[in-house]
Amino acid sequence: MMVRGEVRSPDETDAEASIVDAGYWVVIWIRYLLAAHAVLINAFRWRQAAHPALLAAIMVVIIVWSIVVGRLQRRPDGRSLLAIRVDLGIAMAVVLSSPYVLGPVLRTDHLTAGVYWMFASAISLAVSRGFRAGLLSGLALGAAALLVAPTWYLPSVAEDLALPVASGTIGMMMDGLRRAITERDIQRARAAALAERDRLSRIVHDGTLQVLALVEREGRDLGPEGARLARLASAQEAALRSLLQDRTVDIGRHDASPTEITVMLERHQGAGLTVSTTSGEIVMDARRARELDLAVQELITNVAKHAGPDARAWLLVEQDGDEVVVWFRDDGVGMSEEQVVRAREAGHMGISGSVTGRLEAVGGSARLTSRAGRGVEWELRVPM
Amino acid sequence: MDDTSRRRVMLVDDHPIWLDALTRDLEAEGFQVVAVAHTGDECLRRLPATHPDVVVMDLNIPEPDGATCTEIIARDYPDVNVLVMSASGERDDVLRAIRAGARGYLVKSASKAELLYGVRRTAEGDAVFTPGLAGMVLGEYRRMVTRPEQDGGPALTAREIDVLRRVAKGMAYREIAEELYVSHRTVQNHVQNVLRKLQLHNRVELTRYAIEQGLSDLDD
Repeated sequence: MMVRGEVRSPDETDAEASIVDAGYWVVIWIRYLLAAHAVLINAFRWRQAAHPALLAAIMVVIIVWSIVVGRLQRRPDGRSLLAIRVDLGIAMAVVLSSPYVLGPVLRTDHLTAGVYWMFASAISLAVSRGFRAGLLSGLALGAAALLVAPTWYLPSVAEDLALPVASGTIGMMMDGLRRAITERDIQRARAAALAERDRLSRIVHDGTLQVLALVEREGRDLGPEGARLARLASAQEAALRSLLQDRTVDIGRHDASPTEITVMLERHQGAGLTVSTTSGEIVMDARRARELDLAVQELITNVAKHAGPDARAWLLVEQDGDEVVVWFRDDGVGMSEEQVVRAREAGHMGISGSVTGRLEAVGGSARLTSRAGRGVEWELRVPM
Repeated sequence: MDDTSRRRVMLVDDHPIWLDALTRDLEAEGFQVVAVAHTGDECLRRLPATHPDVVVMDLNIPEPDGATCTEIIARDYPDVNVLVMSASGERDDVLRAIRAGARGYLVKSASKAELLYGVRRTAEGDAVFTPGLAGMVLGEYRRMVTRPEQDGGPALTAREIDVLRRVAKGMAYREIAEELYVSHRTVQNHVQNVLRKLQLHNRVELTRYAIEQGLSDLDD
């Protein structure tokens, strides 16, 4: 049965909680009504029962447990897994004890000692844990009620079938409501986060960003120390700028949600690398985006290692149909034709193999062109 | 128009540290900073009296913003060329300024050499394309192709797209010219055409908008 251990999932929102509260309120009253109905029916047939004292005890259990559950379920910390297990256990025990307690009466009116009261357990599970839990508990209780009835009386079969259908349907509705509310809350959180980011962006833009850009610009002419400051400022300026332009908001609920690849790649912008993009946003599969980002990281490291001390690099991200294309070019020492052939033939060895292998694993490709003294150019393609 | 005759520059920025740094660098290279403005309003007021050849425009200035000022300058003072500078590089603002008639765009962290080169080219009426701007413009054309209702302005030729992509990949005009076996001037012309077409698109759109709004006199 799909039941979760905790009382309330940590990411449950206030709106979601209030919907669940409303659901429980309905369930509690259904339970009271079904309890009253069950007690009434049992009172009428009390004298014909095989063991009237036991039936009286069951009636007390039904009343007392309904009141206890009603009190418990009013508050979120009363909706624990333990309470659910006990509830289901009691409902099941009432159903299964019926042949012994009721005796021949069960044969004539086809109603267990629980009558319809045990349905409340399945419905309450549907409210708290959704479709699957509601359907499965409904099926279990329905099947138990069918098994203890010694004759296959059609209306009673229909009643027992109606139980899982009803609890499953209620569970499905609760799931739908939860999803709708979660989506709405995410939108609201996203709007608030973006508004706050815009406010911060204006402040940062008027101060920090201006000074960083100035340090970067003036520092270059102030000797090696100044040049070092310029490089540091440049890296921070790029990081800050891409942070401010980042429109993705991490709500912390969808780990594998699609990723905005341009923002991801703009984080690599720095003194040695210029990042350009054609579209404002390219949203792609999170795993493929991560591999592409790691491939670019490898290329950047490779430029630093092999392209020469003054080499600069440029990156252009484009969307081509349903593919993301990244052009990565440096103006370093480059490779001779022979070296290019060797790099390609090296298979999964070295930088070429590692980048190619990484992208091919997610259905993409990498192509290398170079000429001695003219730098190296990569064309990376990955499906969105 | 030769290089030495167009040396009057106006600076628009609300950061005094920037105005000082830019003034110093430009004057050291023989440019004449004829006016500075801290707000869009100041810029538009001082412009007619000071006759600059080039306006170096920060996009984030107090009202009206840099893009709006560029629109007004391009419309009312067609012989004044605007070079946009911005610290944030907000795509929409940059594109709006470029479509409105700016000649080019530099990030504020550009080196002195890049700035001087940019101002010199802008003074001559040439387009100043950084890799970042080339990428944005390429993307803008791609968007216009996918939105048929925007069709109406001229499309880019395959060669123009090729040149633009090479600029976006960081290639210098000289390198592009070598690889395509054409002259440096031809590359410059391609880039210039891209800018001209983009601004034409802007005018087509503005006219259509005006007609739709019923504000336009069709005989005009």
